[in-house]
Amino acid sequence: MEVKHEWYEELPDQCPPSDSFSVEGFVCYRLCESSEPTEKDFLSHRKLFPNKVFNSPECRARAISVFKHSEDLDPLLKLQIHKHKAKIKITLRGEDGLAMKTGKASHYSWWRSKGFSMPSVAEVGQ
Amino acid sequence: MRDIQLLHTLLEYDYPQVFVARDAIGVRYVCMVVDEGECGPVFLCVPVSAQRCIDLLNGKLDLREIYEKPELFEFYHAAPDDLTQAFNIENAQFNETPQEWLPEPGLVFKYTDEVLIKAQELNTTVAFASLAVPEASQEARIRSRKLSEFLAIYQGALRNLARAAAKFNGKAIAKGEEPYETDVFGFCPGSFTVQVRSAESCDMLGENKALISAFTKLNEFLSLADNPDDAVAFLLDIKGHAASSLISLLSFISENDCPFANTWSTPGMHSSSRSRIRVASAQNVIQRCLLREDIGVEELELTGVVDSAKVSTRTWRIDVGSVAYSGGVKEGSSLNLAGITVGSRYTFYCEEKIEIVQGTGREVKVISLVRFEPFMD
Repeated sequence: MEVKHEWYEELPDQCPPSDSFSVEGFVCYRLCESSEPTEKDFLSHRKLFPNKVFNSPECRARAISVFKHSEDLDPLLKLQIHKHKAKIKITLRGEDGLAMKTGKASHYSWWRSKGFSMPSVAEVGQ
Repeated sequence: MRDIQLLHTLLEYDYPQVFVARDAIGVRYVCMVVDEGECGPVFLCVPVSAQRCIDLLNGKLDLREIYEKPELFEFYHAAPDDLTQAFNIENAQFNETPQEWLPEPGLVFKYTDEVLIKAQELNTTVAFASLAVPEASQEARIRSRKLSEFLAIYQGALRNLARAAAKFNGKAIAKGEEPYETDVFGFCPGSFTVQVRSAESCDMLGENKALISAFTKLNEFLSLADNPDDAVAFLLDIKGHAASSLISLLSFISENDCPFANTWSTPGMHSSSRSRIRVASAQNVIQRCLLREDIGVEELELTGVVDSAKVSTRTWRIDVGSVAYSGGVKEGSSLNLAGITVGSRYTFYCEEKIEIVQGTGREVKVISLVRFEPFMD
């Protein structure tokens, strides 16, 4: 059944792209400030830094980076700015949004919908 | 104070975390995020020699070493507002990397995609077209005639694929516009490899949409060529001039006994796209296409004033606005031009095919009349 998403933040036209997929059952990993993730851990960089332009299309700027394989977060943990962070395992539900394979390794862009509810889907990853 | 521009993103997560940038005179800088405040990320940048940069990209050098043992004891801070433009860096007030910012050992990168690197350096859409001609087996060499013929066929394929894709997407490329034009900017050894780039200026992400759609279709076709059924199905799907151009490319590959590989990239891709085709595969597809005359045909409807219609030679000419079209009667057709009144308005229903002039690769459009009717206002 097709889920109608209400997006967490305003998205440009044709975003998410037509080849994005439903995240029902999608297991992925993200770095969070601590093992108890907060709302701020799941914001796109457009939301965090509204006036910054990074080198990605606007649609992707409004997505959240996640990795399918937890070990792909390891290089980031070698940077001091991320060293203290916790790998959080997220099992997404259909109403949590759409995702698409983007970038290197197992990197995905996840467009978060308002239906995403953190406590029920996040746990400390491996 | 100086400006640098991002070239290669080595580690990305929400935004570039580690990247290589260059300044106005080509000096490379390695930049790493060290702080993230409400105003955005702050990067620590260190200048590196060309060799050190290559070693970092090739995974021969650890990121920690770049910061722990810099070649120059110069460090810069950057807090760019726009990573798609040149941004300012400011001298840091220290001559060694603070311990609390040093990355952990073992952070190495494998960034060896030469086509992607070239696209990022030029900030445009590029392709490397590799021709394994026999004379290139020992050295970077190719017959001039072959090279000019290939470039004409290659550019023709890009033009027709870009036009077909644009039409399919409902945004036809206007007559007179040529956003798919390419410039040759270099050669490199191996097989004989021609480096081409967008001739038109690209958008801020270095993307030329017309070329991207043409390269995507070209590589899709090349990757199908080992299976002739799939390749012919692809040609039947795009049909017309785009299909003709691809068949011309296959003929060039076959006649010159020259396997071909096409690798293309835009600056924003995470790796280049590469497809290749063997001579035998090209020949198999050509054989199948001989049975399908309709593959390369495009239907053309011309309404205008007939300038000439010769019964003896079965040739005609019609002025459509300010453009004159001429051609013959479709081969095998019994259509008689005798009933046409010269100087009157007609609609000609035609088939248009591309034929390649042997040896030059130049495209000639051949128009064949199928039927006609007087035009009623």
